[in-house]
Amino acid sequence: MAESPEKLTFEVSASLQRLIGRELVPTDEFAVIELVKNAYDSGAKVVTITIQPVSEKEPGFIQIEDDGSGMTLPDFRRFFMFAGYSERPDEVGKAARVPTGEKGIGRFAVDRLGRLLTITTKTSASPKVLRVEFDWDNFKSKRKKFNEMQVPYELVSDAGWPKDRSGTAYEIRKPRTLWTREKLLALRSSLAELLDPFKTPSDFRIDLIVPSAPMLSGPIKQEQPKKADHEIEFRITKAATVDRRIGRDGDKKSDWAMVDSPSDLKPLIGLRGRMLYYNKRPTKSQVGAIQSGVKLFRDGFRIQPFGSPSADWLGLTEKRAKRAGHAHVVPNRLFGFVEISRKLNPDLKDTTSRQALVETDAVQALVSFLRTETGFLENRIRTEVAEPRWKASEQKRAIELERARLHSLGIVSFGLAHEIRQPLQSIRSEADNIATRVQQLGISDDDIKESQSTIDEDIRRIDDTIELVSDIATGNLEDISSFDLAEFVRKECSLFASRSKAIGTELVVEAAASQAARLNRTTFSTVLLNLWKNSIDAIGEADDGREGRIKIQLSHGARGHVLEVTDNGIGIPDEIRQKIFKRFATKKTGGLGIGLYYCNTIVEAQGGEITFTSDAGKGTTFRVRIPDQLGGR
Amino acid sequence: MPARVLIVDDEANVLRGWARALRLAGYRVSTASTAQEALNLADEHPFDVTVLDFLMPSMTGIELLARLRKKVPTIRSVVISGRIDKKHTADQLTSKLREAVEADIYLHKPVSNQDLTETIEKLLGGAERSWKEFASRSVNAKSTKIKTAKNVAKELKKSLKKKD
Repeated sequence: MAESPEKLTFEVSASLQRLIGRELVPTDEFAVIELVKNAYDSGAKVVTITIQPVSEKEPGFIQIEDDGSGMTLPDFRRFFMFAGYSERPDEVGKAARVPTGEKGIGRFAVDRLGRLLTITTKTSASPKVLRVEFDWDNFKSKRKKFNEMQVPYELVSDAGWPKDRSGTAYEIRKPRTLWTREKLLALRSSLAELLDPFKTPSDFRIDLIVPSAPMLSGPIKQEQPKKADHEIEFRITKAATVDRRIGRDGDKKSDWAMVDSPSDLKPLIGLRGRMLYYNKRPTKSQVGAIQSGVKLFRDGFRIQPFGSPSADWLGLTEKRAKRAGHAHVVPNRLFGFVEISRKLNPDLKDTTSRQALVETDAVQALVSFLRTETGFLENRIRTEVAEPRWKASEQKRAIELERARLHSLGIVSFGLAHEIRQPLQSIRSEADNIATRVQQLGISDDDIKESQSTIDEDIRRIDDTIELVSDIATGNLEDISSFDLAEFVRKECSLFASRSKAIGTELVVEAAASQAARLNRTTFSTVLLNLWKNSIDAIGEADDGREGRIKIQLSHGARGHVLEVTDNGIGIPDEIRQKIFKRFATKKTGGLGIGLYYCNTIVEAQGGEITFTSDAGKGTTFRVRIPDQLGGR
Repeated sequence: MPARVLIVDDEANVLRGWARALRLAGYRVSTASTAQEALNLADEHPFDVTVLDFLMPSMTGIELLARLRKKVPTIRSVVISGRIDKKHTADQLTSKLREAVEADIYLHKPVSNQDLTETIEKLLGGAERSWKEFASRSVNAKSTKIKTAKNVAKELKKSLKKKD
């Protein structure tokens, strides 16, 4: 090195290797992965990692061997021994691969794995094998200069390598770490997630061999999450616009559609990705051992730590904790795979520690873009899952409230019904007594007769009202039992038959010979009774002397039991239709207007629904659907 | 001789109404507004029929019926309930009490004079006990919690108290 009095130069301590290799590189797994990346960059098709943990019998070693292009001595001098240099010569690239190594420092990470490193490498053209020995402990000294460190090598003509074989093998001895089973498992899963499962290079395989643990040995499989509840795919086009498509794995996907893009996406051109979301915690059969998180891959290789549990790089955990923004996205049910490339996205650079991206505008754009995509996904989740769920819980609460109300109504009406029926009984008796006496006295008077029939009618009306309130008050909606619904309907209808007949209305019941059901009987009989009563009233309201006809049909549909009650009464007036299931909505001259409201409440509580069609003046059909219930006897 | 009927109800107006109706229909009628009164009357007269309110302060119509039968084994019976407790009446038919005591006929308030007199005619004409028919016709028993008439009375008292 020429020195001149006017200029100063840096000298580099040998311990810099230690700073870079051991302290900047975060984990042992990372060190292994760096060598796997080197293998990939050298055009390898298979890289085999053999780990023999230290034990009482075995001194332990790590070997990482590939079938890549290998290095000649000049190559080795120029590239491996040139710290901070990473570009690979064109002739090395056997496959058209974009180099994954970038900084030219990954090699120093090997120090983490063990004290002694032997590199054996050979190109196919060279007849000799280059063997280089490193003892990293020699780099300890702060006094020694980095560029004065001496690494012995030899060129061996017969090292057991076939003539046309090329590749590189790193053999690490005196391991610095204890490779426990847990650590090996963690390495396996890190390797499994090293490659983008949706863009795995077809010509690259990683084998992990642990001689002492065959269970941990074998090729690393890149797993894809399957059967997500929501899936979106997105890509940034050459024009820096965003295309997106929606669809689940296996289902028909929507076409790619251009969507509004928020910011300048030029640095992200070529980005592709997908997000998968599970409404419930995904099972092993859905996601295997894949960790949740939105992961970033460059040219197929994972960039740590994005998407790792500790890196909340899209702020999902934070937002959820604050109940803001993507609060509906539960982070551990979200799986994302985002692919960028070195060629197209040169501004998305790793920090030297490989633990993040260097903060640039491009990185800002990436994060904000992915947040937008997460937001889009979240909207879908909210409208498809969270909102219905929220509505259901709202409804449940309303029903609970209603139950409480009914319970207190029950307590009051229990006494009230008794209190009203006593005087009603004496009115009934005494009115009849008057009639008897009038008859005995030989009096026949139209006014008296009319008065009597009015009294009769109103006693019945009071009685019906008490009956309804009593039913509501005493009905038990929780008892579920298995029974023959067809028989039940026929029996209930037989109770209506005589009264239907008395007022000149025909009652037709259509039901199968039998229909097995698992329901709350009270619900069904209450609904049936109310609909029948409504029909009777609707027919009674028609003053054109029409012949009443009520048809009660029971059937079974895909979503439960279906009861239809059709009458040829006056129909439901327009002004009532909208609020027919609301409380106190009635157009009838008599009635509280709580019958349908109550029926609807209890039917909905059991996952069913009541619908109707009505032809003003001509008649109405009410349709009740109730699914079989779980639980009960 | 016209048949003798004993009517028991704690409500004076109800009692009067039924008494008048049956008197006008030609029966010999006695009335009692308490169970004790009814039992005393049963010592004096061999009643043919008794009409009992189901729900009374000291005991239920069913309990009273059991005691009346000890005095007058041949007595025929009509138990009339407010409909609010008809489910419990039905319930009873499936309970232990059914084996011990059952009324010949159950009716529900409000009962018309015609229904009442026809029922009594039927009983006097030797009609079969019709509780079975009633049981099958009545709405299915819903509450299994309240198993005995005593409990019915207790529940009612409680709810009446709450109402007060």
